[in-house]
Amino acid sequence: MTYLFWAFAVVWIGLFLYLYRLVKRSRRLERELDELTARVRMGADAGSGRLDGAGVAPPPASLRR
Amino acid sequence: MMRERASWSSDVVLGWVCFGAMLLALYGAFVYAQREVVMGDVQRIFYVHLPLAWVGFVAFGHAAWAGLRYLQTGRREWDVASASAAEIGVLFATLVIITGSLWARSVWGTWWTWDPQLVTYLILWLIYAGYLVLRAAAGDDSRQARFAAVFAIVGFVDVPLVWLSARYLRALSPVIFTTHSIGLAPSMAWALLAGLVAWSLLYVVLVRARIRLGVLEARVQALTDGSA
Repeated sequence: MTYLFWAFAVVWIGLFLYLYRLVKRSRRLERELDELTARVRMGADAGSGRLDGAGVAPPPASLRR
Repeated sequence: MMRERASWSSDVVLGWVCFGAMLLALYGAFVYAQREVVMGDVQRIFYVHLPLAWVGFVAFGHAAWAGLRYLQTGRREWDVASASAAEIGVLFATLVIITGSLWARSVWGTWWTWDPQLVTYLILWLIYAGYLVLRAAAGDDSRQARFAAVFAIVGFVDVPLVWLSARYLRALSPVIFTTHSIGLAPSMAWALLAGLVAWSLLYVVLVRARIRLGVLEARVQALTDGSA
């Protein structure tokens, strides 16, 4: 009976550990993806000359050629 | 976006179906199946041991097939699918070895014997564990990914050897399925069938989740390379 218990326990513990690892990796990746998307968007905004706190303001009209 | 949402909801449905099938399989293993006369209750390990071995073979077959498709098309999705299937296959094969050892210890008084079936199965485990190590080292280099695909295909050659050794070079493991009959009482056969269905469904759920994770990893990698 002990062996039967341990066989099923090992299977379910192994399975839950694997699922836990998948969920942890998925959360980390989603966080990284959000950060990277925000960084890329900020870079695009700065390139288009929009002033949004992180970007660069367009030069005044008097200085434009 | 619509496609992602539809895929997510089908995964939820599949998850619930799998949960129900798993409850049925546990009921079959512990309640419905009759007690084996010689081995007693410990024989119930069989209802998880054999389905895990079956799903492990399916996973390695999936890894080899996806590896073949990667070599044909060069598409990243197939590489991700091959790695995902191999990872789950190694998990299941590890559990097969552990449950088999526990069963052998209680019935035959030994954790392990060097009989052909166990040795070929251990070689199979080592091949795909090596594949995972190779994959971890491969990174995004497509040449190394191609090498990993070849490794997955060649590794699958060991699967028929395991089956043949179980069938013709008998040792500890009993032969259940012959060409003429199933060597099980009807209640045991139904419990086994329920286990096979439930664990196969769980494989589908796991491999879909793992492939989605692999695709997400590829997207993060592409963004990281693009922003560097």
